[in-house]
Amino acid sequence: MKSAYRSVKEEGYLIIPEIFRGNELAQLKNACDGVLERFTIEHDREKPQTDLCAIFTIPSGSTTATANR
Amino acid sequence: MNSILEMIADPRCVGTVEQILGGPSLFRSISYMVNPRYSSEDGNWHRDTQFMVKDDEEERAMIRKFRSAENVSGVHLQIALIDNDDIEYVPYSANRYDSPDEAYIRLDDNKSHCREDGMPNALRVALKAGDGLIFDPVGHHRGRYHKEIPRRSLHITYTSMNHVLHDEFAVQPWFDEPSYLTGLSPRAAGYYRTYADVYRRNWTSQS
Repeated sequence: MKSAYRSVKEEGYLIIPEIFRGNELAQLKNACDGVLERFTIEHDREKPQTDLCAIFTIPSGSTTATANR
Repeated sequence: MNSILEMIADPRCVGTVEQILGGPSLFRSISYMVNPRYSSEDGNWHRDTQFMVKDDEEERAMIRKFRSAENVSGVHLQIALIDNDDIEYVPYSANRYDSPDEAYIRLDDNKSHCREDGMPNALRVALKAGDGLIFDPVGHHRGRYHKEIPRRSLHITYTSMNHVLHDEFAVQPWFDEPSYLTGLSPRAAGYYRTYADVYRRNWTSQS
């Protein structure tokens, strides 16, 4: 089995199953959705009826309708 | 916000990242990727190097330099918070320049084909909630932004302490606010203090 280093150096990517599960995952999602809710309110006030598909450099960053990720 | 910062600095993330980078890492940025509400589009195929160079020759040279380096200089970690397969990646593409078919999609005709399907050997990465994908952003990759496909993915970028990358994503002066790191574990707070110590000199000139 390849090391994480070897996988990414050679193939460019690595999937890590189950980094977070259960309560930790729920806690992380709740925290991120809280940030999303705050940004969505701001976004809709400033640019109504426009899309939002990413929040960059949270918690104080910017929203964007297009992204590369 | 503390739970997000704590988990990004968690050894389960940073440990793997630092094994890949071959040494100490620096936090760089956190983004949250979500599905749009009104419209749908496929993402653009790209390498992150294309945003750092002025022309094709410079990008070729940059990729050659990365290829000859012993370690990867930076990685992205995307953690799916719900099941999602919006990321596509071309395995082995980070260590070489584009094939003609790849260059056609990514670059040709003023990048007008970059959202097209048909990228050779593209792999759509299916992640279950809680899974992470670490990838070298020098390789070909893209996202997908479809309103009907739910997406909640935390996107974190890390860089090697030996290859500090300065760009607009690293301009985060709020890390210097007195109470910003309050409540974090000493280990996590130390990780972000190191980040601030390295990047602080850029914040005053760019923020």
